Amino acid sequence: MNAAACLLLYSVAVIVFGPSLLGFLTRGGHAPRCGVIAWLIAIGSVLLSWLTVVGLMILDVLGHRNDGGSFVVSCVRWLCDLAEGKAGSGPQAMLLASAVAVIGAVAVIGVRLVRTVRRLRAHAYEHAQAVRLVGRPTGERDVFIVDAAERTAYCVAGKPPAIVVTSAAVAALGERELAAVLAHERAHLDGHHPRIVTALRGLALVIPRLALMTRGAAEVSRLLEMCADDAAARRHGNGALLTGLVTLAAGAPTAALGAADVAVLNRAERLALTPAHRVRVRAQAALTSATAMMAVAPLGILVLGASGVLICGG
Amino acid sequence: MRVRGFGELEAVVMDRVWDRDPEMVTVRDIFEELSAERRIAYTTVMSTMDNLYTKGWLERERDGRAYRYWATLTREEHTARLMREALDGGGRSELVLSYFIEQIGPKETERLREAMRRLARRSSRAKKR
Repeated sequence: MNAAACLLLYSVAVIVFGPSLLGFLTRGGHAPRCGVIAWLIAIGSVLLSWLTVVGLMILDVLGHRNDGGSFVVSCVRWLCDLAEGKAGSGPQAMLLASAVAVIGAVAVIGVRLVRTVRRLRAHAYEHAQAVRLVGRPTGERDVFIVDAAERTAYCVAGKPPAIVVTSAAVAALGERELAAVLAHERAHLDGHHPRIVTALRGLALVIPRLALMTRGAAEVSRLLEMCADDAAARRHGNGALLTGLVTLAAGAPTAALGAADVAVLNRAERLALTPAHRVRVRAQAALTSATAMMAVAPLGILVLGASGVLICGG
Repeated sequence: MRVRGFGELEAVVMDRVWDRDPEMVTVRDIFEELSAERRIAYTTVMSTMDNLYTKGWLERERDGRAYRYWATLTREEHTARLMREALDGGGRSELVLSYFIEQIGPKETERLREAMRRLARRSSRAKKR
């Protein structure tokens, strides 16, 4: 059981320290791809730890079914003792409560997550389909022009997905800029970015209290924008993309002001002043070591647990 | 013109229905229009229009043995609905969209222009070298 406790402890550590550490490491956007991987590993390792803990608890019950030495069984026995008026021991009560809470919470989160992601996906697919019916197809695959006065461009997941450019945006952008904008959106679709964002958005909606999930969803979508920027800039140049960014930003309605604005400036500044090679390498190294640590720690716990080092208490 | 997949045929049919709006159309009307330009089966048009009805894009009423169809909303109304969905903060919660750019204010736009100017200066310096 100690492996399970260590895994829980590990997930708590990532939940508490992960968001600020990763936020710090990825804030410059010098290594967006490494940043995305780091966030995904952090979130994934927490979820996997929870699942493993539940698995270990179930194994524990099955493994000790006959000899009555199981931790859960002894907890149940303790409950019976308590009901009969015998004094129970405090630590066991805590263990029982945490076991029930973990299994219950993981089950509830799992069910809600599947439902939320399905809902988000259905919503997006419906939108993509409507775009295909309403928009004017262009020569390019999946690209549709929608007649609207707002200057905007976006992509939406679907079967098949759709890239939307409004007629106002097409009118405002030059040919090179439009190509760069479309390349940016195409990079999102080719990199399955909508799928990643949908999963993270679902997690953030299901567990809104964990900054790891909410901040993770926001930061990963910011970093994915930068990944798409890099892909588009490689093909069409930083200048074309940056001009496109400014053109569309200037024409956008100025109603909404929020965290997203900073992200746009961040992107523009990256494009305007490409960071020095050594800055990028340093960011990559920092993120890679953080990622490796987060990936290795839970595995190490499991290996130690399996080899018996952690079982002394069981 | 080649039609790829069912979705594209739906778009073609909606185009024809909107072109004849506010007139009502039958499957035969659309089939005759389309078969002048391409090889297409009557049943394909029929099931496409039935699908569009199920999805709420077309409304219909029985007229003898056939249905008469019309569009529930005009193309403009659908476009307006789509844009509302896309721009009204939908990108933040229920509808996952990857925007090229989120909407920003005048102050941020100015800073964006500044970033542009820096890039222009830098590239002109690079050319001089």
